[in-house]
Amino acid sequence: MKLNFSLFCLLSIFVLIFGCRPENVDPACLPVSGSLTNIPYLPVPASAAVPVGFPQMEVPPDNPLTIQGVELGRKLFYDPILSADSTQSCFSCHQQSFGFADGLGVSDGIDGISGKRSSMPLINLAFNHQGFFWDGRSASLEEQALLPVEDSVELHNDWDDLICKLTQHDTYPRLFREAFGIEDKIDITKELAAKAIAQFERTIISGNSKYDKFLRGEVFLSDEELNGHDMFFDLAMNKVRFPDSECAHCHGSRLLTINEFRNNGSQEAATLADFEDAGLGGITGNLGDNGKFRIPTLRNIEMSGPYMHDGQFETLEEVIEHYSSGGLSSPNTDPLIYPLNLDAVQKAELLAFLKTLTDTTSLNSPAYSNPF
Amino acid sequence: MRQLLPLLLLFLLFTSCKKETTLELNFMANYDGADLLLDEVTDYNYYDGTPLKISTFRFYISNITLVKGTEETVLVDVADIDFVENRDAASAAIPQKIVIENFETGSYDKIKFDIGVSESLNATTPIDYTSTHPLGLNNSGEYWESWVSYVFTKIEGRQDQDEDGTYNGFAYHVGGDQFFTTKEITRSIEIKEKKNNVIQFNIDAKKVFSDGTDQMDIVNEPSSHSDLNVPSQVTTATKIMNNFVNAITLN
Ligand code: HEC
Ligand code: HEC
Repeated sequence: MKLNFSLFCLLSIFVLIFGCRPENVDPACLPVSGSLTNIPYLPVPASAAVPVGFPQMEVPPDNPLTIQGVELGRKLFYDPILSADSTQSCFSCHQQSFGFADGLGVSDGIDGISGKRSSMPLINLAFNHQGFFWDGRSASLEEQALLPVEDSVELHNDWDDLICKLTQHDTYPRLFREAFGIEDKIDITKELAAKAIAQFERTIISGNSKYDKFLRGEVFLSDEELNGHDMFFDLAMNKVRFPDSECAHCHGSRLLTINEFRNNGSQEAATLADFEDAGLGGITGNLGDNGKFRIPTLRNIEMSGPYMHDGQFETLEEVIEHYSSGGLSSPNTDPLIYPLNLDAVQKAELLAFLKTLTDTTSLNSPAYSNPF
Repeated sequence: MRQLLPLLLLFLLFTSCKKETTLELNFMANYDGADLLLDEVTDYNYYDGTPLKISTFRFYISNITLVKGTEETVLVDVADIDFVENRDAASAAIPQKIVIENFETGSYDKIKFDIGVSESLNATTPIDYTSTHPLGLNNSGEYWESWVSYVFTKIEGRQDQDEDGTYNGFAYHVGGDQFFTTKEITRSIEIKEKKNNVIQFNIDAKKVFSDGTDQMDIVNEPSSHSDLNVPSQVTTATKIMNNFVNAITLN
C-alpha cells in the first residue's frame, strides 16, 4: 500500500512535468503567474458619443464599455505583438486614414500571403447586430476579434503563445487587471483580449460628415450633391432628369447600410452553384444565399477603396458605372439592381453625393489613433 | 412497487393539471396552394403561364384583435411577418408564429387586423426601438425614408416573360399612411381552456398580383416604390395593397 502511494506520487509528478507541457509553446515562453491584487480595479463606465439621429448603442451585458477596457483594446488593436513575427496588428489592414480599411484590393497578411477578400472598414460596427464579415460568419465583435490572430493569411499567430507573451509583458497584466479585475497574470485569456478589442471597436463612430451636418441643418449641400442625394434616396419628383438609383434600399438609414446580405451583381454566374465566392451561402449552406454579401456602409467611401468584397473596382467612378449598367448577371442578382442608364451628369451628381459621406472627424480622431 | 403507485398517481395528477392554455397565431404562405419557397430556384406559374420566382415576401400586420360583441381584445400591436426562412419544403412547413401572452378564453365572433403600421407608430423610425423590435434597427431595410414610412408590404422576385431563360426583376413595395388597410373576418373562434389554441392565417402570394380580373403587368410595371405623388404609382400601390389584404384568409 505504502509503495503504491509513493509510486502514485512519483507518477503524478512525472505526468505533471511532462504530460502537461503544452506542445506548441515556444519553450522560451512559459506563462508567468503573479498576483495583481495590489493594483486597484476601479472600472469607469465609458459612454461612446452616439450622434443625434443615430440608433441607440446596444452593448452585450457581459462586456460593458469602460474607459480601461477601451484603452486596453486600443493598445491591442495597434500592437504588433499580435502577429507571430511582431510586424503586424489589426491596424495593418484597418487603417484610420483609409476609414479603417487598408487601401488594398485584397489584404496581405504577415507572410505576404494574399487573402481572397478585401478588408472592411471598421466604422459604426456598434450598430450592427446582423453578422460580421462579408459573409456574416461572426455573430459578434467579441467572436470576430478571436479570428484574425490565428488566421494564416492575417496575423498567423497562436493564441497560447500570444497570451503567454502578454503575461510576461511589462504593462499588459496591469491593463487587464484594471479593465477586467483579474487577480493574477495567469488569468489573462484570449476571450478577455477579444472583449477589450470589441470595446475599442464599438467606440469607432462616424457621424460628422457633410451629409450628417446637412441633416442637422448646419450646412447646405451644393446643387450637384443635392441632385445626387435625391437620386440615391429615390426622392426626386422629376424622374426623367433624376432617375431613381435605388441605392437607399440597401445603403439606407444614417448608417448608410441596412446591414443585410444581397447580391448586387458583383459576380457573374450562370447558375447558383457557379459563384467564385459563395459569400453568405458558404456560411448558411443555402444555395439561394450564394453570391450574397454584407451590404457595406458608404461612410468614408471615398477613402476606403478598392471596392467590393474582392476589391474589383479601384474607383468610385467604376462602382457607379457598375450600377448604371446593371451589374453582372446571375440567377439571384437583386431585383433592385438593373440598368439605371445614368448619363455623365447624373453619374457626377451621384459621385458628388457619395463624397459628402467623408467624415474627417472620424478619420482624424485622436481617440482612435495609434497609441504607441 | 406498491408504495410507488400513489406517488405515480400524484405525479400524473400534477402533470395533467398543468396543461396550459396557450394561444398562437400562425402565418403560412403559399403560391396557388403550393408551398411558397423563396429559394431563388422554384418556378411558379404566373397568370399568363410564364415562369415566376419569388425572392422576398413580407408584411407588417397590426392591431390583431378578437371581437366579442362590442368587446375587443387586442392580441398584437405590430408584428413583422417575413417568409425569408421558407428555403425548402421542411422550412416552409414551419409557420411564422406569434405566441400571445395576454388573452381571455371564450367564444369570439370576429377577428380583425390591419395591414401596415398604424399612423402613430408610423410616425416613429427604427432608431426609436431596440434593434430586435419589429420596427427596430434590424429591420431598417423595411423603413423607406423617401415616404417617411415603414414598408407595409413587400413582394420581390423575377419573371421570365418571353421564356428565354432570362428573368426580369420586380419589386412591389407599398407604404405610407394612406395605404394602411383594415380587414375583418367574421368567423366564430373558440379559445378553449387547457388547450393550445391556434389561429392560422394563410397568404396566397399569387393573389397579390391580381384582383380576380386584372393582373399586374410585371414587365411594364416592375416596381411600386417610387413617388406616391405620381398617379400611376398610386394606382399600382393601391391595387397591390387591396390584393394583399384579399390574399389573407383564415384556415
Ligand atoms: C491581413 C489583414 C487583416 C488583419 C491583420 C486584420 N484584418 Fe480584420 N479584416 C480583414 C479582411 C480581409 C476582412 C474581411 C474578411 C472576410 O469577410 O472574409 C476583415 C474583416 C474584419 C471585421 C468585420 C467588419 C465587418 O463590418 O463585418 C472586423 C470587425 C475586423 N476585421 C477586425 C479586425 C481585428 C480586431 C483585427 C486584429 C485582431 C483584424 N481585423 C486584423 C483583414 C485583416
Ligand atoms: C440590392 C442592394 C444594393 C443596392 C440597391 C445598391 N447596393 Fe451598393 N452594395 C451592395 C452590396 C451587397 C455590396 C457589396 C457587394 C460585394 O462586395 O460583392 C455593395 C457595395 C457597394 C460599394 C462598395 C463598398 C465597399 O466598401 O467596397 C459602393 C461604393 C456602393 N455599393 C454604392 C452603391 C450605390 C451608389 C448604389 C446606387 C446606385 C448602390 N450601391 C446600390 C448592395 C446594394
